[in-house]
Amino acid sequence: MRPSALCLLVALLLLATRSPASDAAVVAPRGASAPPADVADAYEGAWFSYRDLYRRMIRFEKYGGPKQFIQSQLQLAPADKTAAIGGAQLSLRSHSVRLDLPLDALGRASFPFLKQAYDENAELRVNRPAGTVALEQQLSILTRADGVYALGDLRAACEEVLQYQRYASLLAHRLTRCVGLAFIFPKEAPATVAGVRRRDQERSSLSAMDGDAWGGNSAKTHKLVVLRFSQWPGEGQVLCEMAPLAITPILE
Amino acid sequence: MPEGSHDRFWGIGVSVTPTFEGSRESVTRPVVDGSAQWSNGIFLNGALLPSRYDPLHPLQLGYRISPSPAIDFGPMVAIREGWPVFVARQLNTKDNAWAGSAGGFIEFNLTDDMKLTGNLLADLWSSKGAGSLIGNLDLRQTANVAAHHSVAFWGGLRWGDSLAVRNQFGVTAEQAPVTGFPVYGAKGGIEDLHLGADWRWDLSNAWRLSTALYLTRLTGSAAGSPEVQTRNNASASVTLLRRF
Repeated sequence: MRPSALCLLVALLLLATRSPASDAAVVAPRGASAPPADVADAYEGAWFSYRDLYRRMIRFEKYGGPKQFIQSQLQLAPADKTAAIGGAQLSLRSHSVRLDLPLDALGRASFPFLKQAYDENAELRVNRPAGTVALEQQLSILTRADGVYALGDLRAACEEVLQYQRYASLLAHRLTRCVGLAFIFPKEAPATVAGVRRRDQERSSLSAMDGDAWGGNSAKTHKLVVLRFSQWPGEGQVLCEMAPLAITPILE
Repeated sequence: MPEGSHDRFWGIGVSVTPTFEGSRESVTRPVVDGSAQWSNGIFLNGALLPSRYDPLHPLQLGYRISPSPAIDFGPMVAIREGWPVFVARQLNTKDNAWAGSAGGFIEFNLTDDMKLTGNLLADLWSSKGAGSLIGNLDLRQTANVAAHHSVAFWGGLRWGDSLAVRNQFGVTAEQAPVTGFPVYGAKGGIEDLHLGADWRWDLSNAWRLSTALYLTRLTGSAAGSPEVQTRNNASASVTLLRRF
C-alpha cells in the first residue's frame, strides 16, 4: 500500500469517527441549529439495533416445529452476571414509536414485532451504560397458573427447546441432551417450594438451593430447584407451591 | 423482516486495490458501497461503480431462500473484472474486460457466529468467451469484541475451470505478439487462497464505519501466468455507511 493511500484511509477514519451522531452524543446541541431528529435523539446509554434483534426473534415466531410448552423472550443480560438488574428500563425508540417494554423479575420482556419500528430503524434502549448489558433471546418453559406440571410435559418442553436450538443453527447442540429443568424462584421461597408426586405416593420435596437466575451460583440471588429427568423416570407431577419466576432447560 | 420492509446500508469510502489481480501496483479510489435486502428475498450488494478488481465490493444481485435459519441459498448474478486491465488496454478492448456471471450461492449457519458460504458462477458474457465456471468457498467467523464493535474473519479458496483460468490468466497466440508475453495456456483448479477481515463499528444506530482487509495468494496455474507480477495481493477499504 502506498503512503498516499494510507493517508487517505487514516483521514477518512478520523472524519468518520467525528460523525454528526457521535458529536451529538457528547455535545447534545439544543435550540439554535436543530439537527435531524435521529441525531438530536442520540442516546448515551446502551442501545441495540431493533432490526438485528427483530431478525433473531422472528425465527421463533416462524418456527413450524413443536413449541406448545415453550416461549421466546428478550432477555436483558448484564455483562457482569452478578450485577442486579433492578431499576433497569427497556424502551423502543424511533421517529414515531416510543414504547416502554416492561421487564419481569428476571429481566425478560416480550418482544414487540412492529413493522413501523422496523421501517424507521428503531433502537432498543436500556438506561445503563453501553457495554454493561446485552440483549439476548431467552427460551424458557411456560409456567402454569395451577402450579401442576406433568413430568411427561416437562420432558417434552425441554425437548422442544433443544429441537429449536438445533433448527436455528447446524452445529449448535448436536451432541447435547435434555437432562433436566431448573425452576427459578424468588430467594425468599421456602425450601420445600417444589416437590414431585408419583402415582399413589406422597409428595416428596425437591431440594432447593441458592443460586443465580441463569446458571452459576456466584450471586445466589434466587432459589433454584433442579429436576433431573434421570432421577424421575415414568409418570408423575411436579407441584409448585408458588409460581416459579421461570423454568429453564438444562442441556448437557 | 416484516412484509414490504427492507434493510439498506449505503455509503462512501475509499478502497485500495491492486490495479489488477497479480499486479504489484495499487490504486486508491473512492467507492460507493452498499448492501440492501428486501423482505421478498432479493438482495443487492457491492460497489455501485465497481472498479476493475475489487474483491471487497463485488457487485451481486440475488434472491435469498431460507427454508430454516440454518441454511440460505438462491440464485444470483454478479459482475467482476474479467482479465488484467493492462492487457485489455494493449489489445484496445478495455470496454469489454468485464464479465457478467450468473449462478447460485449457499450459506450454512454452523453456529450463531460461524457460517460456511459457497457460490458457483458461470460467465454469461466475457470478451474471451462465455461459459467459464468460478466458485468460492469460505468459512466466516464473527465476534462481538465490545459494545457496537464486531469483527469478522473469513478464509477460503477460489476455484476456476480451465476456461475461467485461461480467460483471466492465459495468453493466447493472438495476444502474445501484442502484449509481449509468451503464449500461456492456463489450466483449471484452485486459483487462490484468501483471508479477509472486517471490522464494523456502529457509531450510532444509523451510522456504521466498516473497515476491511483482504489478502489473496494466487495458486496453481493462475500463479504461473506471465501476466502475474506477484502472487500475493492485498486490498483494503474504509467505508462510512448510513442505514436506511
